[in-house]
Amino acid sequence: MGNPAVFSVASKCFSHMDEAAFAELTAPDVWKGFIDDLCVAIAPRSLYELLSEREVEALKNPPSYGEYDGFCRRHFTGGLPASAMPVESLYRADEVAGRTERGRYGADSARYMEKLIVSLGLTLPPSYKAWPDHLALELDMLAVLQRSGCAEEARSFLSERFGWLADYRQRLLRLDDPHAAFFIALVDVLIDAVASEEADGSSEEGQDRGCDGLPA
Amino acid sequence: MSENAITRRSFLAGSAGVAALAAAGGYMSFGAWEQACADEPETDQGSWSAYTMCNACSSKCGYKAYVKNGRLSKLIASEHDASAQGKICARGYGYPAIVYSEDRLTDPLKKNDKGEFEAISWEQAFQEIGDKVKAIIDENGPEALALVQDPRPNGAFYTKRFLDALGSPNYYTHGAACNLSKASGYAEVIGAGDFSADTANTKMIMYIGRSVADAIKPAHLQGLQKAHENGAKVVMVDPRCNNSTVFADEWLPINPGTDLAFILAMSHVLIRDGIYDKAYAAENVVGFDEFAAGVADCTPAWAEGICGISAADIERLAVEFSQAAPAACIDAGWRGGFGNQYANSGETARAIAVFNTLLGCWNQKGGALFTSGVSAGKLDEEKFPPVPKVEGKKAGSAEYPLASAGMGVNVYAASLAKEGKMKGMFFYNSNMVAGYSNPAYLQECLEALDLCVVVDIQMSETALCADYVLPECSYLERLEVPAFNGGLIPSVSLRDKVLDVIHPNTKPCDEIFKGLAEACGVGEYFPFTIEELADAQLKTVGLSLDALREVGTVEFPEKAFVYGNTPKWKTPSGKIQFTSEKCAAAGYTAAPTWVAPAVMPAGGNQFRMITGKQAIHSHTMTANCKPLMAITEDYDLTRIWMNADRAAQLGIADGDEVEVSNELHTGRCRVKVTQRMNPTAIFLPPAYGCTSEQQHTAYGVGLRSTDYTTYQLETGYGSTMAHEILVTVKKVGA
Repeated sequence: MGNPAVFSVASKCFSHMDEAAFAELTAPDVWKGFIDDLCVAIAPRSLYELLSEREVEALKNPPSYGEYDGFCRRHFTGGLPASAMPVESLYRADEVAGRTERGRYGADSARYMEKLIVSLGLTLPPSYKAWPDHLALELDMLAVLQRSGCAEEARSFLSERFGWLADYRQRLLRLDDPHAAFFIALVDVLIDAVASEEADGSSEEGQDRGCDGLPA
Repeated sequence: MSENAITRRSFLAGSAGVAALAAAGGYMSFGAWEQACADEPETDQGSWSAYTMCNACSSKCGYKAYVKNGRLSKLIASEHDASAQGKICARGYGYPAIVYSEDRLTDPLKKNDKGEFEAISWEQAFQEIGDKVKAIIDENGPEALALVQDPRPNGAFYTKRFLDALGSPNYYTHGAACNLSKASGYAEVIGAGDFSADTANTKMIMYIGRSVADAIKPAHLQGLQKAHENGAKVVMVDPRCNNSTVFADEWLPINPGTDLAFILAMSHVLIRDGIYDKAYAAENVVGFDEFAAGVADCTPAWAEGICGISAADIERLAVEFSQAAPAACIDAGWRGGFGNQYANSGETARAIAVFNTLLGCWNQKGGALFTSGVSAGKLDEEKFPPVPKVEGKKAGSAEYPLASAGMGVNVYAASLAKEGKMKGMFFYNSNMVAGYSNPAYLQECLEALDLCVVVDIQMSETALCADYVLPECSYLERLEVPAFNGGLIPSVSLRDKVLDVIHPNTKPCDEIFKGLAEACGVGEYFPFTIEELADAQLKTVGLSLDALREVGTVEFPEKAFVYGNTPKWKTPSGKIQFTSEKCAAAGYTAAPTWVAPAVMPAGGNQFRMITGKQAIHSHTMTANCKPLMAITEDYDLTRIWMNADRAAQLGIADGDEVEVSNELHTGRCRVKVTQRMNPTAIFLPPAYGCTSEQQHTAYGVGLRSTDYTTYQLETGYGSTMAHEILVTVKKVGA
């Protein structure tokens, strides 16, 4: 099921890479490979059907490192007037003391991710301690599950974890920043890729195998 | 592209993720995890605990915090903590939610050329701030720097040491917007800025504008309850029938700003009828005759015309006080009545200190006490090098000579920025812009600075004005220096670290100011850790950090207060001063006499706007806390209070939306129509009216009194005169 490379690259884009990692990832051949893989993931639709022309251009031509770094510093930083933290806890409604609330770190999705990371024998990077349900980690987790042959687990994770992206997209849309288009385009294709993966999964139901190699 | 070395690199699994996960097989779905959580029995098993102190107001109540699975699970109030005494208020239980707030600042920030904030590294922040501080000192001297902080144990130590090390005398507390006039007025008479009513043993106590059931310190509230249960006479003097009145025998809905007339008239009765403690006054007082002459005309009938309390009631209360004395007093108050509210707040404080003296109640059982305290002794100078004494006078000390030297006039320091005299300001745990005086004016002041640095946990209105914002970790994520508490039995309490730091790029106050000091070239005064400092301070009183960590609070019974002793009056004469040369020099009479408030409402649809505490909020700092704001919503607590008779005259019904206006601001809110309100004033609940959009919970909720406040300072004392506001109120659509 799926191509982990797609989710892995997207994961890195939301992680505020340093200049070397960004240069490596956005090297023309690497980035073209990502775009090609994306097109496969969302097929039979094309990027132009899914995104506005501006977003397609933004996706095909990633920002310079300065632009990317500036965007992350202004928007992937907590507590700012223009914060747009890609953290699931902030967008999921949670039950707190009998009230439905959204907008706090460390909600159930964070606790779950924290537990899952440990139970899978993985390591939560220290810089993600406050937000184990950061989009970068959720996408990375999905890629790791896919790459490990855990198709059923990947599908379960995918169907449970990414429903908040539509709300997150709305937050990005409200930013007054020309470089938001790149990230909006990424989120749009992710939403579609997730939907495609889910649809593929339901048509293949009964054929999946879990990490243990047994039929799911 | 498909998989390659770059895509295979994983945050979670490193580059060898495939093999690692294939061997693990520990996947569980979200649903299965939720079920496992639901099935888990609720026990303390697997939890650990630490003693800390609340940060939802200045009372700093002690409690034991339990942590399970890395998250706060339970708070149990400390029985022996001086403020808590086994209880925590709603603020205390609700405020920890701020730890996980979406609005937490997570990284050091710098404002760029477009006025946008961007994350930067701590190294860059320290370096740039340090360079700018050095440049300011080189060009303008250290007097062009100032720091404002709302005292907490670490803040009080580290910020003072930092500014002293820089050589600037301009160190301010929040006091000018809180209790400056009260403390300064008392100091002129009794040489101390505060005292404690012995409520548990009193026969009669009067609260003026203070509500211990709204501005809660559980120990005070329990004391009031005990006084009530003991049959003491409790009198509440407040334009608003506050929530403490359930324990009172009388509520006197005094006209706001006229407490001074009321007290002078009661003093007049005591002196006229010779029912004051003559022997005590003769032995301890200077200036009695001048004061007596000054109040000769302050008859109850005169006062009735000003304060709205009947002459008969004034006469009666004065007599009742004399009969209850010395087990009686007017409570010290804090902010509410005369901390910083009126043009006569400092003089009101002086009059109260004089009145209590006439009762002979100082240090008497049931009276007004100067309780004992314990403080850390001298530390090893090699490990904790003393900072050279700062030369120079605090900005504002000449213009406001009556202001307590320890507090100073913070907003005046800010105002000097507009004159180009103040170049750099630091703010710690202080939201001056929203909470101290007119926000638009203060914003202009801070924008005129060359350097403005704010240390906070969320984007306050003051932080929005900053060039650099440094994110502190929350109070539950840090150890602080011990808090030494006065009281009948002095004690020391600890705010220990309860939770691991949530956001890894935030720092505690001690590390921030140590980093700033190093960058500013004065790091040699900070060669110690917070643990070393706390332990060293505790060792000077025979304890250790480890020992205090075990119990949270330690009392010093050997230093317990003893009734009946005569305090050493720290006044120029060494006696209680009914007259003050400093006050006379500042433009007041030597002995307190009547000073009118700066403004008076004209009637019609004009009112004085007053504020006060609600039991769930503390100024602007708690408004962005979801559990506390949920109570605001549930009980519709942003409504202004309006006297029912006045409301009827204006055609305003309970729940109506009204427009509240003056020359500075217009805003809308709804009305609580009640008989629990003096007819000349409206009560605007505090804490609301946030204009920082990044405080998602607080933003745009309710009105803010400071928007209606002119930047104005009380003569001599320098307080912000927060109730000298006139507004008109009209029903929307009428």
